[in-house]
Amino acid sequence: MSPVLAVFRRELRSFRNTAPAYIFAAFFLAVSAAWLFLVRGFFVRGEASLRPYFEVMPALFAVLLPALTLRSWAEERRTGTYEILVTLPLRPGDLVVGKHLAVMAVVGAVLGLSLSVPLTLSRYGDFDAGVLVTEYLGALALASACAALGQYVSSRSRSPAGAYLATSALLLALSAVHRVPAFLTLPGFLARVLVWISPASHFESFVRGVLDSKDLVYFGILTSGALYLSAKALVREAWR
Amino acid sequence: MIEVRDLRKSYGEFEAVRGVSFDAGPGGVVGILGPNGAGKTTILRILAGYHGPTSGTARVAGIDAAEDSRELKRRVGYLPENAPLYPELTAEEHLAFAAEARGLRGPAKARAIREAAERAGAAEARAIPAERLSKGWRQRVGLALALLGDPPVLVLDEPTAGLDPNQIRQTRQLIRDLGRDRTVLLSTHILGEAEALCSEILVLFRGALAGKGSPREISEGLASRDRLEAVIKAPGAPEVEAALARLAGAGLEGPPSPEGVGAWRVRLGFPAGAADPAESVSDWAASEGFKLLELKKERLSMEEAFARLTGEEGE
Repeated sequence: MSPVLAVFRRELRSFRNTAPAYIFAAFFLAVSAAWLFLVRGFFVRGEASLRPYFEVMPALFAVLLPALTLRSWAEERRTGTYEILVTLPLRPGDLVVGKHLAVMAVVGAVLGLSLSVPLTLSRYGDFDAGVLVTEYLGALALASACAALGQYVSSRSRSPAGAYLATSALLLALSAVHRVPAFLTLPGFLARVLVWISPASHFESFVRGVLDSKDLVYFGILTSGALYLSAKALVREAWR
Repeated sequence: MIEVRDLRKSYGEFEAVRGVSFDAGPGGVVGILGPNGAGKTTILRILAGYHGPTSGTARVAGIDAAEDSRELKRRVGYLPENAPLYPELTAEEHLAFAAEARGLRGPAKARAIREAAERAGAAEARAIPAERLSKGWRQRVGLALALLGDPPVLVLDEPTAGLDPNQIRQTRQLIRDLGRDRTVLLSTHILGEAEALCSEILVLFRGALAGKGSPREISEGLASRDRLEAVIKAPGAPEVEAALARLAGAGLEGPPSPEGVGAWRVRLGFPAGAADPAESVSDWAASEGFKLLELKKERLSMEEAFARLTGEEGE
């Protein structure tokens, strides 16, 4: 069995036996549905589009995903299991990727459950399947970047609560930073940078049904960069 | 099997291990003995691949910890202090993960899990989540994790800490058995444990090696003097004290204490290498006209020897 798969399976066993994954699923599904039907009035608008459903996801991931990623390293250090983990013959990259894939498996399962919303609503309107696929692809890409950033913060944190708060603050800031130019007059270059660095601005393209390779590359770089830095943090910790 | 040369590890300004060198051949139980903060855990962690040395070398089965930590980890089974476990996972799930991480699969994985659990006496706990296991059972599961895959070297950090006397006896027996066919390096701050378990003891103090040898060598080499306890029939304590001044080499440890009517209990210390202190006391009592009612020779305990070695006597 590949080392990554060994780590992935261990993480999934922990998610299966503890509350955070279930809490994440329950809040994500309940809040996103409430947002769509109660806040954005899906039936009142009379439009066969799930854009409001996906628009809330950056904020939802910012608040809920850190509950999954805080476990990655900060919790391992708190319980002492970090010592077991890093003395098994596994590379830092195996550990980081295995943990990331496990978080993404939980996110994937929850997004799979959320498919019940468009499936149920399909009897009331004709949804564009292509747009829906792009929206879900965007949600996965966004979640992947958020989870990778969460793991990096966790790899640098001593306390799980600190990891949660720091990740959540970072993700909320990144989700909102692209809106700053709308409120402040900034030099054009700076405004473009702020829009570019925000995952939410790239996610908006997916929500509009636009699959742009630049957005995919952005999320790919953010995910792989954060995972690389997490692995580096583990190596640095071993040699500090 | 284990070669450590001029090993040093610093955490910022603090030097936790200061130039430690030792060897441990294949087979046998080697103990690192020292008070808390001596650097025991740091050395074990380097040998387990948890962190790298600041300088010097640590090799296990020819593999340098600083050069190929992954290969090193394949050869070492490690039990961290307090046997940390994932509370939500059963022993079986812990063992499955360790087996998969060591690249085992299928029947080999199942066999390795079964053998490790049975050898460590953890088989009955396989289906129980770690959060419901007692300290003793957690320690067994931790040992099973270390044993998984049959590594040639076991590194055990305080393997009996927190166990009850019965569990300590069982764990020590298991470690003795394991030491027959592999190298076991363990840490302890209990001298009696090192004496009971180890074929060789390394005494560590403030990050440096303060001594090494067999338990007997450590004990004898450090015994700077022997101690006797005698009950002497004499007219009074001042007479006993005055007479003791004429007993060559003897040091009176505390004032004579009354022992019934007309008898006094004294504790005497003698320098190492002196002629048989018991014979000296016997001759001295006869020459002083005292009757010797009781004479008991006390060897320095391991604890006392350890305290002397580490310079903590009387602290």
